[in-house]
Amino acid sequence: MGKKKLLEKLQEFLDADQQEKIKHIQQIKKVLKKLKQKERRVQQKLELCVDTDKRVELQQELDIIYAQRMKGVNIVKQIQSL
Amino acid sequence: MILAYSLWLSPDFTQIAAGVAIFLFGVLSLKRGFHGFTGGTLEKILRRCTDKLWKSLSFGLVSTTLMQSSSLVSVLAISFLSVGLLDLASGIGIIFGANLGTTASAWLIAGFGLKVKIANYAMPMLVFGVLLVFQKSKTFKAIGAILVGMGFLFLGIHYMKEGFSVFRDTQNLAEYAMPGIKGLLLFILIGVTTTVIIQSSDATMAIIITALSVQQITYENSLALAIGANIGTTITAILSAIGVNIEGKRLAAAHLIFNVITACVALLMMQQFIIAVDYLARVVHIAADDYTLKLAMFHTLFNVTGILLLLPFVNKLVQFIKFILKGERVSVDKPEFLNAAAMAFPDTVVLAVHQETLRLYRHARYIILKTLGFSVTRVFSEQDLQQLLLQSKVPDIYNIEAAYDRNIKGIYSAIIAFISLAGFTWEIQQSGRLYWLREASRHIVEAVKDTKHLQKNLLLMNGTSNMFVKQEYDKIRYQIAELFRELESIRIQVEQGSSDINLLSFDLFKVRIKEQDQLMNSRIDGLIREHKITPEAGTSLINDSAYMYEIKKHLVAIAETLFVKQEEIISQAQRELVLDDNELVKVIETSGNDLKGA
Repeated sequence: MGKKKLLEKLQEFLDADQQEKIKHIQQIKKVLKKLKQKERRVQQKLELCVDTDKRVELQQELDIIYAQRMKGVNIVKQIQSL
Repeated sequence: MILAYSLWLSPDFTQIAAGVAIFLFGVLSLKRGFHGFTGGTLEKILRRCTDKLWKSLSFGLVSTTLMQSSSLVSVLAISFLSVGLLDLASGIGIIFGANLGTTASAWLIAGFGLKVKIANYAMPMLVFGVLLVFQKSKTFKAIGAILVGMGFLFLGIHYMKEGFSVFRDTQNLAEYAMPGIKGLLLFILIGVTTTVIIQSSDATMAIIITALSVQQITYENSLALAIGANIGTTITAILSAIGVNIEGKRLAAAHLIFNVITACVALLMMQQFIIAVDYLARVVHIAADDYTLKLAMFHTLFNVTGILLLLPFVNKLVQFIKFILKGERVSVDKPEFLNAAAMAFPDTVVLAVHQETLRLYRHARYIILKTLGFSVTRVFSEQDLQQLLLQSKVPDIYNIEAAYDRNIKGIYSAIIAFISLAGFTWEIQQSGRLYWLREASRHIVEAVKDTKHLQKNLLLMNGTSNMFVKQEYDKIRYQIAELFRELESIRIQVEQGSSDINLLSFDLFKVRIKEQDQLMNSRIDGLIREHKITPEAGTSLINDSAYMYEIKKHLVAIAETLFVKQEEIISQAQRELVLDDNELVKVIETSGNDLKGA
């Protein structure tokens, strides 16, 4: 193994934690992105909906998605601060 | 009528009968006293003391000697067997021990009861016993009942003795004594009949010993009566077995078989027993004419012989009883997907366990809906659920326990065994999936068990005339069926390739379930407050709504694992974002505020 490759390996080893953090954040962000898309879709449905009961249901769904997103954002912040 | 006439005719007979009655009342009080100790301590001791044959034998012996009632111990053993806390062999061990323990009564009456003026002991026992019975503490009450029982027991013996001694002056039963085998059989029959009528071999033994002590019957006749009492005593066990399942019936049969065999041996070897008793009496310095103690010794000796003869054949006896008393044949469902071939690769293991768990879920779904009075196919049809609810009614014969044994238990055990064989060797990805699948199986079993608890009141309230109670129980049934329907629709959507559904989608169900639970509880509070339902019906409803809440939570947890296609890494991230209980409550509060704002 050449010196350059050896150094690369060492760098990789020393950065393992950092890499893990980045990977973790990426996964959460992927889920957050999907949640955002879903939130938009539900929001659109809510705007078009006239049935009161259905509107209550949709609003609740929106509240849940919002809470999940906030939880995700906080997790990302926590990982970044480590 | 005959009894009343006899009592009117003979004051001596009245005294004997009163003695028997007081004795039996003492037995009843003793039973009640010991009953006060059941529901915890006694059960724990029973379980620990009966895991081996010798232990169960010693347990039967000691407990019967202490309680002075073989009937009580055998009834307890039958009830424990019927709820599955004992196996038949241990139950037989207890019965053997109880048979030996019951001979202690004979020693007590013969050696102690007839020599000391036992009424002197009875009185203080009764006084202290009654004082304790009036205490608030359950333990004191139970001790009081035991003391009162012992007091009446001794008092009963005293009256029987007095009655027989007066009886002796006017009539001599010995004149009716028949020699030879005819006499033996006749007195055995009398012993059986008397014990069957008064349902206590101890009482019969007390009568025999007192009658013998005043020479109303001959020694040989008393031996035959003792043999008869030993057979007759099984009647209590047989009666108590009427109301229990096949296991309890088997133990009662074992009791009868053991006592009949012992009696036959005693009858066939009567002369040998008499010689052995005479010999042993000389050894332990019992006077040759002390027939009461010799009777007690005979009683012990033939029971010991019976136990020694049958103890090596306990397993054969178990087989024989199981052969003659066959239980309802339950064809237990076996796993379809778990096999050695599936074990070859990590992914096939996960797939096989997933399929099997899904099958287990379908069985559970059928059982739960059936218990709630729904037809499974109709719940998953297009039919309006409210209409379906009106058409359906809770079936009062659906045996959920048998259904659990038949369709759930076997598969669940197989899944757990399969996972434990496979799980620990593989990389984290498969092990993680297997962990969640095992959790899903556990939730399935818990859901069925909670439904079983729910069924009890559901059946009880089925015929209620209170419209409000009925409405609430209908809501319980409706909400569970509705959740099943919604989860099925989720499953179909995932199967059809919808990418919208993931672990986070189930938070919506969790919020709704929590909300429904809060609503139902506040509704029940209102109904109690407005006196529309009794507090008792209200508490039942609160308990049952808690069962419903648990069932629904289990169902959602099952669906999270079984219905969602999971890419391991992403689903790990999703799991982190799933809302916990506090966060769900916050969402409910936010939604409430949104509504007010709107």
